Amino acid sequence: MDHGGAQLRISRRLRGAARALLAACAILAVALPAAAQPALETAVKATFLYKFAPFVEWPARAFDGPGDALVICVQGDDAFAGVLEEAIRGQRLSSHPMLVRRLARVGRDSGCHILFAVGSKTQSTAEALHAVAGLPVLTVTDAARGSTRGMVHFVLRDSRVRFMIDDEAASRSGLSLSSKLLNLAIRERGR
Amino acid sequence: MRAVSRSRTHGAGLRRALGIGILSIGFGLSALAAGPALADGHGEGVRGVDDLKDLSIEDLSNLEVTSVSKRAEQLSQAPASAFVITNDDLRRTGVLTLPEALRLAPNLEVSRLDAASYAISSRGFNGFETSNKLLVLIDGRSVYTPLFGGVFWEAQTVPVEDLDRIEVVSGPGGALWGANAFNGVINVISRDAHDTQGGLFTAAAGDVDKRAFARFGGRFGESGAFRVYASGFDRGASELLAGGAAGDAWEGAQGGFRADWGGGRDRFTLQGDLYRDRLGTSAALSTSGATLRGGNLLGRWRRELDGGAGVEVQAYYDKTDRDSLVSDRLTTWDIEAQHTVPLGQRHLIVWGAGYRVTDDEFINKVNPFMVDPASRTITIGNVFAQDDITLRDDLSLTLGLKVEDSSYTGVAFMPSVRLAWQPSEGALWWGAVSRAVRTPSRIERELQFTGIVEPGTFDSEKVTAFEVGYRGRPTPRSTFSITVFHNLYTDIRTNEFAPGGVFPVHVDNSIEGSNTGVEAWGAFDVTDWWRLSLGASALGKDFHVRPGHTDLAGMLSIGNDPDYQLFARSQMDLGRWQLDVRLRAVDDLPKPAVDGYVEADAKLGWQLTKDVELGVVGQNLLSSDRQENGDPARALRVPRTVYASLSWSF
Repeated sequence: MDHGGAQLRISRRLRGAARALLAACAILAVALPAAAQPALETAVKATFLYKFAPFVEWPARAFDGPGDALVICVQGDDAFAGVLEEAIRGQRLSSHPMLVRRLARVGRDSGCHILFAVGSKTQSTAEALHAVAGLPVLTVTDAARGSTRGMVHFVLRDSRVRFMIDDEAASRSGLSLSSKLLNLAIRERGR
Repeated sequence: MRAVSRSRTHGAGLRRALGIGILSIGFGLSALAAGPALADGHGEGVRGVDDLKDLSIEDLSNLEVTSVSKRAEQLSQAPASAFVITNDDLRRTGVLTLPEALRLAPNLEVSRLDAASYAISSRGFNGFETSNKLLVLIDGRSVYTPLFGGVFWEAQTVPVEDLDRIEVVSGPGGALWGANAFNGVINVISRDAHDTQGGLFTAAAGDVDKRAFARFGGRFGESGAFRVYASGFDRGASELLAGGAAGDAWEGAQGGFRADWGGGRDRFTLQGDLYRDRLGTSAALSTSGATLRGGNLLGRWRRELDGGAGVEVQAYYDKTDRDSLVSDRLTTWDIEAQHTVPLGQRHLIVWGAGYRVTDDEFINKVNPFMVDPASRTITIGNVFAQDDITLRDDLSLTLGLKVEDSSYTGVAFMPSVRLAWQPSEGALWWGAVSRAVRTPSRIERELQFTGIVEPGTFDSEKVTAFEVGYRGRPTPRSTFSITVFHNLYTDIRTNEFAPGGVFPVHVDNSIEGSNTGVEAWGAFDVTDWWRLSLGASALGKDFHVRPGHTDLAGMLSIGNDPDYQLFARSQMDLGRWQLDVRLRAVDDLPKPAVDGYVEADAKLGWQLTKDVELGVVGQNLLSSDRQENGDPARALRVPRTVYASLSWSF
């Protein structure tokens, strides 16, 4: 059977089609605007940040009054890119509304209740945690962003966002963590 | 007598390989040119913070997060040519069987033989009798048959709904997986029982394919979870090229369970399946229909030790029978253990051992070809060790060795050296040199027909593979992977006359040569609701029979492979609708000659409610009279099929 001519035609046609397809992709890639959706991992971490609040007991002095907002500070290189603001819209901790404060550098008077620290050239994660040491601030860090650990440390386990908890550090700062939260945390592995 | 022959000139193959390589690099570069870095690409489905608002903190802890970046992160640590087919891919494409799912992997050749059978291979050697160079594992259970070294795909009716992923790793995996991981390893991994809670019912009905699946999952004890499932399917007969039904209809049922439990440092898994299928008339092994039945039971125990170490023990029992005029019955017992231990700051050692006993019985009632003895028990013991050495923060060297001792063929050494360089978070360059061995199957060693075929002379086939690859995220919205390989083969199978050119014929190892090729693929999130994927593979072959020998089979054992394959896939999320369209173009097969083809598959899914999805799936849409393999005994058309699908969670 002589398929020579047909084979050659099909091969040429296929190569031509493949090249056209690649060129189309390149053009589309440049031309279309990108409205990127945050990765699910980022959305889950942002959701955890405000969902931790009901499981934490702050001392009375942490809030000026019942209507005083619960401030979630985000320190360091742009984490969450707006996802956190979207997530806490309308959320409350009993009478306290929630708001997000973004800081390049966090200090003792930043007024945070929860601090998510990822570090930057201006202030490293360790420096940020040190700045609020002893204050009733729930410090949260992310293993994907660095190895310095706060009271809560996000890790990825079996494709799930889990967290480790340093209960002692929390009580030293005057915070009390619910046992339900502690039960959900991942146990420490031996170092 | 035939003179020494060469395969088709490898020059043309190499030119094509280069052409594909350039196209692939072009794709990678266009992704790079696509604009400034943006926030992370889109995750699975369309879940954003709005969907997560109502989840409890426990549900959030249980939510599996997979995204382009996550996948790249996991694979970015593996210095190998690995393509992963996820559960999401299986759902979006609407595939019903494992072989059809494997068509998604650009580093595999998938060739349909008839309604039930497929020939699947990686990096060449494809064909019904010759695709024996792939190791296929389903949840750690090996499913290749020692009878002829290949896989009876029609007996592997795994429920695709509850698969977590399929890892297709091309290249020799002998150092970790043992003999028969010659040209590649396919790892089919099912979901943990904790992830398959509640009920799921799916059904598909069309002109050729019909299938129903039901599963129920629940919890037990403090933290255990289980599931049970049952599935039944029916695929209609193919049409003969000459017209008329081929009678190769295929139907069957499979059921099984899986349980996962454990707390603290221990995790346990127990799973099992039972199946029974019936094949119609086929010109394959069976000439008048076959009944396939079997079952398996597998247990696994994992324990976390201090310091990041771990131990894993797995044992399984597998029985698979294929009854017809030509019958094969295989029973396998297998146990293996593995210990992972970090040593100091720079070494991660994985070492282990395993022992397998296979009991195979082959009975031929059709003609005087038989294996002697009809029943044989083979035991294989193996030890292996692997050291992952961190030379520098961005450079790691992996040394591995597996030593296998088979009661059938003696000792085989399979070493491998891999180097991985990660200059930045989004890029991994790697290179590897490995050696693997394919031990003889029973047919190759024991087939006999007094005076005509003389057994007992076939040795192991050997390969030394050189690979270089890159994998990474050129931009946050794209991933790209490319591998170039050059494999040197020796002792590939031939059929030869006795000296003097007279009967009896014996099986010998007189083919040697090499394979060179490229595998590349990439995915690009054009928008947050549209992902485009492309894949390509090219292969050039250069084999010859050693001087002084003649292969009566005409170098059949080097397989019947296309010079190149191209794949394109578009995934779109349009509100409640999901559209998945796939194109593949496969070059001609040389011997026996089969025309190259371009084919399309598509699925349109409609999420009616949170729990119900309806869909329409079309396969092989572009032509209805195409032949996919050149087996003259199976001159069948691959039909165009359409079926409707339903998925209901409760």
